[in-house]
Amino acid sequence: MKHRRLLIAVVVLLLLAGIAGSLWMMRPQERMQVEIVQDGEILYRLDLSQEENHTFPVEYEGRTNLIEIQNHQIRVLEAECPDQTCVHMDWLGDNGLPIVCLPNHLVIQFVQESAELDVIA
Amino acid sequence: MRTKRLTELALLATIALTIFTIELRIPNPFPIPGIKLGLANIITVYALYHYRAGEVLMVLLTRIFLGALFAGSMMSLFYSLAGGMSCLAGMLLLRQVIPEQGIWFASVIGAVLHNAGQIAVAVLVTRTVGVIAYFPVLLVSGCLAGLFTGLCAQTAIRGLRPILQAKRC
Repeated sequence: MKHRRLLIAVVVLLLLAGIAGSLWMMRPQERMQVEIVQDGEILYRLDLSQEENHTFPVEYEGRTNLIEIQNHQIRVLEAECPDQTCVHMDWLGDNGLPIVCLPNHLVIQFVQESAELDVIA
Repeated sequence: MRTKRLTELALLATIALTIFTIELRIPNPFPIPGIKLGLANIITVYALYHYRAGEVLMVLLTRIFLGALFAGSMMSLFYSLAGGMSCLAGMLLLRQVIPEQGIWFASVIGAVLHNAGQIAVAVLVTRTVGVIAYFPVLLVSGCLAGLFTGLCAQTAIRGLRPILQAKRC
């Protein structure tokens, strides 16, 4: 039975680590610098606080993701892919998770602080 | 391979595919890619404790390839493959040290490894390290989903034991 307790402890630890990591990801911060990345290349770097409301397409191998910026928020409005996960993720924001469109190799994420420092330096 | 053995494996693959296809129809309340119950894993962990490594691999590969075909998304095949293989590798190692009573634990670790494998592929495909941001959330969902499927498998094995024992006579 000692064995069993050890296993339970490992699972609880994993769970706690996950919860702590998630909370850390979701910590509130002022994030306005956004980058749109495709295949590891930064296509756009935007300051949402400066952006006007508009939509624009991003293409990948003939398939298009339509990206919308409105009220200083960003989301994928339409996507030509089977799973539509990126559209369902809605506005980039509170949970700190990047919007990912795997079929079209597209990532929309907040600029990491370390990366920002590199730009300044 | 004896015909009986082959039939058993085919039956397991069929059950796994059935569960997989039904789960596709359940709407996912979480809009985060990678979060799912993974009910078909019940069959994988069951097979893990009743069949040889190669046989479990055959059942899993059959389920993954036909599952991707039924789901109609070949893109998800790579993610399922990466997740499934890292999950199976980890569980095969665990099988050496964890007895069948600890099947729920093997299932939890398997689910977490499944998510880790998927994120690794997502990082490679998008060539964007930022995708790792998903890992903590998937760690939580993986633990819970793995625990659930593991307990399901444990219950199933308990229920099946009289039938399995009768079969041997």
